[in-house]
Amino acid sequence: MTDQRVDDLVREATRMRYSRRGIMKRASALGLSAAAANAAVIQSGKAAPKRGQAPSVRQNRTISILAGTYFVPEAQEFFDQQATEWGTQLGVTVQTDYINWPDIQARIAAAVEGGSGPDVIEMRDVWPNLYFENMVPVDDLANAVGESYGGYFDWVTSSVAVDGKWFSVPVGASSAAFAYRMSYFQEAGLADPKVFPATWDELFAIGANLKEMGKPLGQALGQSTGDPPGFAYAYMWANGAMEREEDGKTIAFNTPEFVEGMQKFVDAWPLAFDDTGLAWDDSANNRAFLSDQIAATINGSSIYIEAQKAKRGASTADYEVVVDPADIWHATLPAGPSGPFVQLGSWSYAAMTYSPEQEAALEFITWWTERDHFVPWLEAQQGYIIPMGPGLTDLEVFTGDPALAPYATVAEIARNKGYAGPADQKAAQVSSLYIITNTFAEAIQSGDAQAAIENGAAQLQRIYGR
Amino acid sequence: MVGSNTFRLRLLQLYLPLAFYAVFLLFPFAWMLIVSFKPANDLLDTTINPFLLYGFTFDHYRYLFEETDFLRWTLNTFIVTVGATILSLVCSILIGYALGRLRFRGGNTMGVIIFLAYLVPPTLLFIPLAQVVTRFNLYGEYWSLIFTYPTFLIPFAGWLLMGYFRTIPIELEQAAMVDGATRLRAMWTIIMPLALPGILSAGIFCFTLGWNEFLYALVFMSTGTMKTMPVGVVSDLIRADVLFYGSLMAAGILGSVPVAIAYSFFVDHYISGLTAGATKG
Repeated sequence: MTDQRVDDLVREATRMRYSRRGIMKRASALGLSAAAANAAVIQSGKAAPKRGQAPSVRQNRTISILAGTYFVPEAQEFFDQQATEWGTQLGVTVQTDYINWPDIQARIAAAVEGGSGPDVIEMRDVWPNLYFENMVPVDDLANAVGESYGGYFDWVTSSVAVDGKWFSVPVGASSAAFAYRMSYFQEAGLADPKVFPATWDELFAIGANLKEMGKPLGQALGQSTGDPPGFAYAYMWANGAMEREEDGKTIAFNTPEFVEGMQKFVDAWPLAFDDTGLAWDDSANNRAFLSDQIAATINGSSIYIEAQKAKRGASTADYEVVVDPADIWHATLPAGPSGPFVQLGSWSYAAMTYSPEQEAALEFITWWTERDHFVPWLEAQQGYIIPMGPGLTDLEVFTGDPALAPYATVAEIARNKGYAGPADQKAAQVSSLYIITNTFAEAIQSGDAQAAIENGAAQLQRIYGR
Repeated sequence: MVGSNTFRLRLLQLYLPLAFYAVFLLFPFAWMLIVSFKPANDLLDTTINPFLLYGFTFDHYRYLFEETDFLRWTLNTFIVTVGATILSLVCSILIGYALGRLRFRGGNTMGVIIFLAYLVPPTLLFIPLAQVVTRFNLYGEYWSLIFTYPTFLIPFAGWLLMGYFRTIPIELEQAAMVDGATRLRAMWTIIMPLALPGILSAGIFCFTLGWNEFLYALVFMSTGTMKTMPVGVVSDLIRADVLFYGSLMAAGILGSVPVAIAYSFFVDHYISGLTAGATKG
């Protein structure tokens, strides 16, 4: 009797394209036992493969993978090759699509509502918290990947795991550090050009000299998703404030230390920074740095990589890169009264529940995150992507060039958005409204640090206090 | 004022405002053109006047054609836009005629409701439309956009044509029907030729909106080479925090050409179509 009901459920699941979770729900509704439900999942081909287990071979399958357009074109081509290689081995046609990464969310929203779309999606930062109901649970796989790479950094777990459960497998993230011109800093008074100012106060002081030289500090503070929050969150934490306490509700934004720190920043802005930074997006500071307009900026390693490319005549930028990479050095962000911090959120790969090819999607993620495939991909990123755990930070790509070393080491002092709470939906909302970044912009424009922070705190209260 | 014989008055009240307006409207295009031809090393040189060309290069256009699928995106955009425009025009003509010509209970209310549909932002509408597109298995197909673009094209075009049909004297149609023409024949042979300016302006409106549309194209048709120009350009010419400004501007200029051509051919009809009924009580 049960076998017949399992067979019926398998037929229904195939016809209706049920996900693994959908089959389990339907099995429960039909009153099937857990064993029978599992049997239906397996017979429907929806069971997640175990890491190291030989993938099933079923021909004529097609999966599509959606990711953000890579900064390093060679790495994108390499990923395509890997996907093709895996597909050829298993008889699966793999289609990779790359779009401007902020646009991925619109695709995800349409896909989950329509119940159709890419089988595998590259999630950024806090997105798993938004879409986990449509992502296949991958606890076993994510835990196995974490174990094989020495565990995950806390900020990775905080931004990718949802209430302690994994719905996507972390793969690391683009990092953030200060890129600066050693020659200009030395001229401005830095004794050792490879030892960056240890505190924000020291940096502001040197920044004033740099601005007098016509090469100020550059900080993007427009409503952009990368560099502006990369500074704003870090500076906030360094000055004794955070969005909320561990309870997730108590706002810890309006603190005397932060008001004092913000006022220092407001005072330093006209003296040490490029005034146009208020309108800069993620790309503006790259251009300003590489065209010799500024002496330092917070950024991923893209500035350095682009300068190297330009030096060997392979620049893909559509403007002239005039900075010699030998003059570029990197440093972790300076410390405030509470210490040095950096804001990072991990990227991760998810198989989607609406996909009729969940099994193949999971097989691909499993295969790709194995060391033999994942490490070469990480290396192809030329240091632009840092790994999700400490076990990979000793790779040649992170240690071979000392100039790039800070990008991997900042992982140790990184926090997630929403800290001291998790990077949940509310943190994602705060991020998408640019509340933290806007507080800095408002403080600069009004000159009133206290009022800007009070305004920011009120906005945070409306979101986190619900 | 316009017919004033005093040159000073005409200068102050006509030519200067017009010149200001023209500069205001054309500045983005001039800027795109300048940047698209500007050599790479001039793009960020703050020591030179950014509004002038000190050198000249086709590199940005070359990159667009050789390193991206720009021509394919253009073809995709053309197919989708023409398809959606034809479909929208057919529906809008029927809607406009029915609401403008026929008297039936709830006609006016329906006219308002159709126009209100235009006010629903695509950012809300794409969610339920995604379910429709999925149900009909249209993802990644031209039809996904040809069928969804009319959701924002028909309301305005239908409203526009409704107003235009009302400006055509009903006696012409009645005379044809007295002579034995059916309503459809009277509509086709008498009303349609007279409504051509309105239909053309609605068509240009549909073409322009369809050509520039981004969100639906992004979520319903952006796999492989099946991308429209707005989506393809953003996907391939923005790499993380690196934007290819020169090529983006080149794409912007080239993308404007078909719309500019459409307008230049039909500008007189377009103006008369848009202003029809403006002074009729």
